[in-house]
Amino acid sequence: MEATLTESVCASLRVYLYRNATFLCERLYADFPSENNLHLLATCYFRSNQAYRAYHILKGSKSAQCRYLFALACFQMDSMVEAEAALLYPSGAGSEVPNGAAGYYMLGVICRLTDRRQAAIGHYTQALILDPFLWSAYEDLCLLGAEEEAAGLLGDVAVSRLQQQQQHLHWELRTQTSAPAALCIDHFDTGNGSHSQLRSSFSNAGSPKHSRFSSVILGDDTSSCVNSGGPGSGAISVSGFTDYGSNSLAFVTPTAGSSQVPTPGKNMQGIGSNLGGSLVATTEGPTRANIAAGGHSQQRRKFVDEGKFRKSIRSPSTRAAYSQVSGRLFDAVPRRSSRLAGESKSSALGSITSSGSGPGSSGAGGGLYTLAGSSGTTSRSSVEEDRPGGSVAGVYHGSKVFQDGALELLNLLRILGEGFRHLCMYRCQEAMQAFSKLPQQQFATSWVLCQVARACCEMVDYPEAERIFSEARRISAHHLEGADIFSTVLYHMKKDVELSYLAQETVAMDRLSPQAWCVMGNCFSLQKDHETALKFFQRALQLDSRFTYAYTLCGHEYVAMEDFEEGLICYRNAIRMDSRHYNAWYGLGTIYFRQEKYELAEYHFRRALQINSRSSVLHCYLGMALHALKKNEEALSLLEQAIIADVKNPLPKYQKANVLMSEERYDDALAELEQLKEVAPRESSVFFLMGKIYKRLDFPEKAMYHFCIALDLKPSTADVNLIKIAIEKLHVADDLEEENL
Amino acid sequence: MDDEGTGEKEDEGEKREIGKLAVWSVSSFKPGNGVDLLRDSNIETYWQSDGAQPHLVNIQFQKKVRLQQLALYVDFKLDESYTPNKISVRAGNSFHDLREIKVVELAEPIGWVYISLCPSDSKEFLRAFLVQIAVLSNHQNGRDTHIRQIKIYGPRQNTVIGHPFQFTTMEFSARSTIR
Repeated sequence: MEATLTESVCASLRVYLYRNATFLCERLYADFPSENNLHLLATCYFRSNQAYRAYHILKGSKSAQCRYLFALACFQMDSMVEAEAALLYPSGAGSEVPNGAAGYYMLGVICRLTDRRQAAIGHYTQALILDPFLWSAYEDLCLLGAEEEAAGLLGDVAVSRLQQQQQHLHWELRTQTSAPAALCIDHFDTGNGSHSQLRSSFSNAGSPKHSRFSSVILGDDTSSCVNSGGPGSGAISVSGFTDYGSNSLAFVTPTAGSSQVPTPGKNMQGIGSNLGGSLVATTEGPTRANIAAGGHSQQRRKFVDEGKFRKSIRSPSTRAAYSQVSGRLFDAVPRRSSRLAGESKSSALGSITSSGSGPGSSGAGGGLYTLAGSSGTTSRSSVEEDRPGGSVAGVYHGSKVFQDGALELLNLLRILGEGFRHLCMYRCQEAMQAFSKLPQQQFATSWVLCQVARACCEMVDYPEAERIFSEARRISAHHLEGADIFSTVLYHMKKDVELSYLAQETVAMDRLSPQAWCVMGNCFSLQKDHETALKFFQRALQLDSRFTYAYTLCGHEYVAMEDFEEGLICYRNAIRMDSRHYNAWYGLGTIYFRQEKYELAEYHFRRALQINSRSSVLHCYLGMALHALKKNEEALSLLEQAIIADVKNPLPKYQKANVLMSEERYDDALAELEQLKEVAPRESSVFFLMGKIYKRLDFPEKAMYHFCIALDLKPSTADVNLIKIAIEKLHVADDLEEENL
Repeated sequence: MDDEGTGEKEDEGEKREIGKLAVWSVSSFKPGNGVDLLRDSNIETYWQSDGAQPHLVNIQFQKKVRLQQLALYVDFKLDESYTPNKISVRAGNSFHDLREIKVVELAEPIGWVYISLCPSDSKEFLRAFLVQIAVLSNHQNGRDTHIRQIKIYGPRQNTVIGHPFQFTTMEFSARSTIR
């Protein structure tokens, strides 16, 4: 009954009937309380969004997969300490991180959220070494600002590692001698062993590097030839490959002449696509491994191994070896299948093996190839051809295609990674160039477009950013990740109609998305209704308490309401979440500037500038802070830098004129302002400042002329008052005049 | 007579309600119609005084604030003899330091009455710690008074620091802050 129940549970999970799966799994666990079934039950709970249940039942379990799922459940429940302990159990030397790359990634996330930056970088790097396709780890590395580590990881090093892996695998296959079937049967016999092995293979599916890590797992559970050790050692890979080689050999054989079963292929597909870098994949891996009789898992493993196997067959020189091996394989087949057929436990296994191997392989091929993208269909077809004849050539072709697929994926990820890395370091021009190297269909996806638009936004090119964001939203209106930045762009451009439209759309799309509420808040903030805007930003924070930008926006609102204490708290929270969020540093600087604590303001602006060294606005503000501290030469140089950084930015020129005026270099100031007049002919503040300068220079008629123009340009009422006051006091000396600012 | 009532609506962006920064108190009140009903954003509820004239509403700030405008909601149709007739606005640093800024006479008002607090022709703002609204007399010589709502406004601080002006053009304003 166990096999049937396991099969039913997995089938339900596959079609997302989680309640059904949970119920059946509870029956399964009641009758056969083994660790694998426990893991399956926890998976059911986890999938049904009941992480706390998974947490409670997995407490204390020791197997790698259970530990990993337990860590995920702890993470969901915000219990970082337990999650970390679970991942690093047994603590100290000899601790093995379950699921290799995924486990290291989880550790990295935990370290990042508990503010241990170096440890996090180490873990992420390790994860990427094990699996170069783990994009999330790369993303987090860039967000942490670990540029050097990130730069190397998707580059040629990864390619060479990929090739190394194949060499190893090839070598191992050559040295394969006897009883590959026995080995694999061996693995199958031990329930745990097979499961873990299968799981590990599944989680590793698609990347040869995983074999190294999986060998570690193997060492954990099986007593066979694999020795455990650090993931990085090549020696392990040899032994690991041994197992894989043997198993793959054994598994490859049933491929020949078996009938099609669609589902395994689908499974593989799912796994393959999941392996694109999401954590969920690894949990699904084990689940699928737990499928009754492990038949599916067998197939998957087969596919994985097949993939690796194929990769190893890349070079023509291995063809001979392959034919040797294949001969042996065909020998092994009857032994294995009969033995399997005889196994009571693996009855279903056998059936699935025999029936599913064909489609399994295609599915695996397809699954693996989904990673590679375009080469998927070709490889699938090639594998299918392979099956009937059992010809080596077809498989060989398939492995080569897989190898190309991996390389192609790596190239794609490398371009994306480069662009993302440049963007995180705020080198926006390079980022845009990097992204423009993408093929058209990849470029026209909402994620890429949002990144490009973000780059434009950072360069203060708001019209372009708006255009690209609109394009992204046209392509996929359901992608809400970039909506908050889009709303900021519209806020800067003061486009309230578009902004309220965006707000309505995003909230209608997903009421529980924090970005949607940020958009709504920005909309109200533009209408100067700061209290309501604050309320919406706090709602966004309720939905996601780690949303850095929402904290910063709250801070902006508090500042607009002149509640500086709360503003400081909000900005500090934002920095606590992400210390590279330069907007929050800038916000702190503005608060201290307003409170006239100019040294603090200078410090915070400098920190912001360290993070984003190309922002003209930041340079300008630092210049203003320095001017307030009376360090005028430094201020002027910074303002010069600001002008160079963004020629279209009028503010630093204006501030420069201000500084020059305070230094009584009136002519220089006037020259600056004349330039400014060309750029922004309708800006009343320019004329106002010119008027003031003329007054100082004792040209009251010119001053009056400029004040009148300033008035004509219709500034806001408060400023009208200022201008009128200035006009009235035109004939009063400056010293007696009190600036009522 | 209403003072500068008409132009205010367009200036919503120019002023902020700063009553929440202040402590409000009244000279006397009838139980059930206390000072909180002056600030509950509900024009159905009102404060009713219960003592001798003049009835006082005191608005005390912790720090010297810039004040632009006062708004009172009164309704002659509903309150008749309770409607204030003559209101004196005083400001200063403490109770001993008040000086009269404005005297406003109302004639059967219905709705919001806006009183500008700017000393001379809306150019400079009033800067004070304490503002006192004194109801000197009511319509039909009523003894006690009803006021339904009071709001006090100050100017908006400029979002761009170190610079007195709001930028008028998009090129300036888009680059003036980081959000």
